[in-house]
Amino acid sequence: MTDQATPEKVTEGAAIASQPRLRDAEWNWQRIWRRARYPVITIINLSIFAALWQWGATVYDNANFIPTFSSMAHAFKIGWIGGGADSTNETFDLLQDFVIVKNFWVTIQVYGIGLIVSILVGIPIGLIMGGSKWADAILSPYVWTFSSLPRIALFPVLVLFLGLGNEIKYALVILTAIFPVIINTWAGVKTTEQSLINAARVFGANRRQIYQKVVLPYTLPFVVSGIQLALSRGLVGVVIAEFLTGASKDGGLGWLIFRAARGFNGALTYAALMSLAVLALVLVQGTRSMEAKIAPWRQVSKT
Amino acid sequence: MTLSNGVTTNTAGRGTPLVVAENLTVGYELERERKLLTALTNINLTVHEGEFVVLVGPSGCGKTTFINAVAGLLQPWEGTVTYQGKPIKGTSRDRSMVFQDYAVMPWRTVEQNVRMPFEFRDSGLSNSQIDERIQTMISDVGLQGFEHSYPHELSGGMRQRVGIARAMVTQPKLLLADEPFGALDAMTREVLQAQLEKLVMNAGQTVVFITHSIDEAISLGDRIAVISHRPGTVREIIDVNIERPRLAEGEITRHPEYGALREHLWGLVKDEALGARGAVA
Repeated sequence: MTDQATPEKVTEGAAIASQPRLRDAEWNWQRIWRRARYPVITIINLSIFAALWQWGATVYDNANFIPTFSSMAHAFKIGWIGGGADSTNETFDLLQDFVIVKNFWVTIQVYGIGLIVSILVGIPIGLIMGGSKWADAILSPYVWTFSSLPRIALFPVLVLFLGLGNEIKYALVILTAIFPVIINTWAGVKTTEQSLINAARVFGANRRQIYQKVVLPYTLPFVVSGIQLALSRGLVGVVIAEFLTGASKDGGLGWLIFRAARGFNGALTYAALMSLAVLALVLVQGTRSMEAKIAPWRQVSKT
Repeated sequence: MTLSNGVTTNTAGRGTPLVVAENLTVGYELERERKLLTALTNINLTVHEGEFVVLVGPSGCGKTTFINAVAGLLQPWEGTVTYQGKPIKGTSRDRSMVFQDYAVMPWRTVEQNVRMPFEFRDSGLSNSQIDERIQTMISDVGLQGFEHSYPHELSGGMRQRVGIARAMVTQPKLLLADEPFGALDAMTREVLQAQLEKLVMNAGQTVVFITHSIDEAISLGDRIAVISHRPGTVREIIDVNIERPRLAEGEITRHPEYGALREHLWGLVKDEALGARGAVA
């Protein structure tokens, strides 16, 4: 809602009309550049990064620690779309066709189910804590203790109960992801503007209607940022769980990174890391646009 | 210009009393500090039907608390506040409110915000009547064409128009306005004052209006109650005998009574503002 004249408006001036051809051409290039500059800059930026990587790795000359960009890309390709793993010895060489895809899905399953449970359980707990002083008083010591505790410290205890299978992975994802959901939901309910509640009361809303028509919509963007946090925390949880559970085969992306690095397979290590980075990036950017769609008023008031 | 004190105001020529506050003392709880704060003490004030009463006083003097008590959002600690002779308990469709910070729901469009009062209380109107009411009200406040805009797409002045439309759409007996134009720039404020006066005159609306602007008080009020600093009490009630419409055309400040009224009010309010500062220091 700025008052600044847009470039389109500026070009409508009379002086420009006297030299239409030249100006039009210039203007078109400007417009194309304005639209395309961010993707173009990003592509150039990443290309330089890849080139520097390639050069640096060649100079450093230790493929176990830093593989060249091209060998990483090769491992990435084999891991994702298969076709031409060099080794014939499946037992000792991790780099098999589709190895990243397989482990990627293992991770996604644990992560996804853990997140869904965290969201489905976390939101009601946050709403109840925010809405009832009693529930808040009873639950908050546990919630705040667990959310402050480095969850990974619970791993040795959890192993006793859950062993080293999938259960402990789910447990760790839920333990890392649920608290941001609970706390953000609670904060949304607690910070609902009093004047909005007063307005609803003046116009005749009862307790249930105030909750339904004011508190819940007000809390929704808080829940979304809670879920955003849960996404990144939960990913940490699942990767660490995969580091520690040490499956014999296909234990997830975390397991793959850990094993590949331990086996000095630099190319695969970095290819798996890259896959994890892309996953995290897609998730975070996806929820960002989700927040903008759900609560456009918050975006504007921030600027 | 007649000056009078408290309930001893001469009520001859006014409508029937609608809201009567007698020895009203009320406050609120400061949740953080866990203590009760007396905002108003010993308030005596009568609002008659069809009257535009303005409460003016330094910030923090408890004007908002008074309006919240009349709305039914707060209960009196001592004394009484009655509406049509009955003690006020809870909110009512008869008493509507415009808020200082607009209090429009950011996730609702203009139209949906104005519809809100109909969702919570049965108005006895058919759906098509409600739709028509809403449409008329939206154009009355000059928001036609913005029905489907969200508040964050509107300016402050337009948001408060939504607030006014929402408060008046049910045609309440009493309109409570809590410093509705306080956050607006001077030009927008004058436009909205004139529009409010027109709306109120057309509807014969009874209004209790809060402001800390003396000019706004004189421009809008039939009577002005000057509230002292906290705990607030009615210091003086002043009649404004300037014919309406005051803001539709011409300059109200040129009216022969204006200067004297302003001077008198400023004298009172200045004392109170200084008193409030002294109390804090």
